[in-house]
Amino acid sequence: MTNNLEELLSSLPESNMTVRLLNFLDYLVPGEWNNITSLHLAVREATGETDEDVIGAVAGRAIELYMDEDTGYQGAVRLYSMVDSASTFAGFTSMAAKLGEDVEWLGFLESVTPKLETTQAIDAGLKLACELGAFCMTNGLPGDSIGDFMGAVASSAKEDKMRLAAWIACDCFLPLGPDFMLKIIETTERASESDFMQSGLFQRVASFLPGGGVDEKKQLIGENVRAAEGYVNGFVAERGLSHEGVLSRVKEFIDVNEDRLDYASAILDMSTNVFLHTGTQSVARRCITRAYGEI
Amino acid sequence: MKTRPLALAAAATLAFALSLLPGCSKDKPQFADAAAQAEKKLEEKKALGDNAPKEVEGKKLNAFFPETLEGGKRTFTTEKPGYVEAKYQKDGADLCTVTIADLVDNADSKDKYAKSTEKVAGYPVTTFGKKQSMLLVKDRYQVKIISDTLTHDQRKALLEKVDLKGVAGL
Repeated sequence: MTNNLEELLSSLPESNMTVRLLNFLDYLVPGEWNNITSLHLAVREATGETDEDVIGAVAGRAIELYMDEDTGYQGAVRLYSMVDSASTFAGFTSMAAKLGEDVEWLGFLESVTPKLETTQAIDAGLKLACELGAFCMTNGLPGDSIGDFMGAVASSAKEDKMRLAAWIACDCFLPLGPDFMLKIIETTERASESDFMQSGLFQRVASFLPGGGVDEKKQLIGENVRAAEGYVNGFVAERGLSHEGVLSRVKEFIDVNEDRLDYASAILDMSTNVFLHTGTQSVARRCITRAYGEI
Repeated sequence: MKTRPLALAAAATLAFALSLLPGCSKDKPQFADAAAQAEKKLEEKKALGDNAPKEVEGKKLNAFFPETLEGGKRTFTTEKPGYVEAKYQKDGADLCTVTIADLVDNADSKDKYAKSTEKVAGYPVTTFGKKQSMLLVKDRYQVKIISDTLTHDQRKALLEKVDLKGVAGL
């Protein structure tokens, strides 16, 4: 992956399955997200400045900040990329489990794939933990208390809101239903070590999570999810996101029967890179905002 | 649904493969010089090893941000080595952003003070772009107010509300 912020932003697709999905879900957070794939435009949008000298100076400093690995920005993009690569694997596992139910000659897959809902709940919890991890890599631990920290998370910028909305829609509402936070919390508490080890996402991101053994990491994920519960539920309530609303919208995007919504979730998981795409845009915005703040 | 999963899986696999293709028809890089310069600067820093200048710990800067400014409530948004940023909001609207940055390793940012003709609390003041006013403490720590709505004079008044004595004591 390049260490040049301009190249990184330019490498984001202007139109693909991920962008189509995000545009489709944009109604959940209207006006928050634009698919910005150029550094020049990103600086203009984030700062509101139009003078080319100012834009050039901010872009230059943002490039410098991103290129220095010690700042944590590259690490955050790497973490976002792992979330998506891994979700692809989990998506395949879920799909294989479903195929196993329906097609006799693939029946053997059932014995080696985890229960769909357990995997989905673990992965949804892990994605949230990774989101908080990437936030810390990008913004540090702002303030002097947990309240300060959650205030910073809640005030996070546009692409962050789009990503959270997409996570709620595709990783939570679709496979887990309206009480998804409760399911995620219960599952991460109840799941065994081997449940976690069967998650491709867990295997990929485990080394990024603090703690020695699987048990410590499991505890950390549980703590992260519980800490974010109020924020996520508040986001859903404040924006009026509803299970039914999201389902009917997703059914317009992907043709799938009402009783097989887990297919829709698995397909979206396999075919999109929402975390990497919007995560890259988030990190770019943070580099730019900081460059503008310290130049 | 008995036969659909395979078709769906195939479609999804194709879609996924397509999603990995890089975007096409992008403009040439506009900031290639800046990237080359950044690379050079980074190499110089690495060559210094342990002798590279050390930025102040971010947490040490938090105390200098007032809890409220013109009735706006503080939310810390970033805390990194040598840089802390807080947003002030009043009645749900952004009032301003305050930043304190250690410029010990960022000499370029100090150049703009050479043309400074104003002072606040004895420190040189300057502007950058349309929305920023800032001052430099001890030729090292930059305190800045960014706002879409406030004038330069209003921003200067807010600079005085930051604990500049505390910053000078670092």
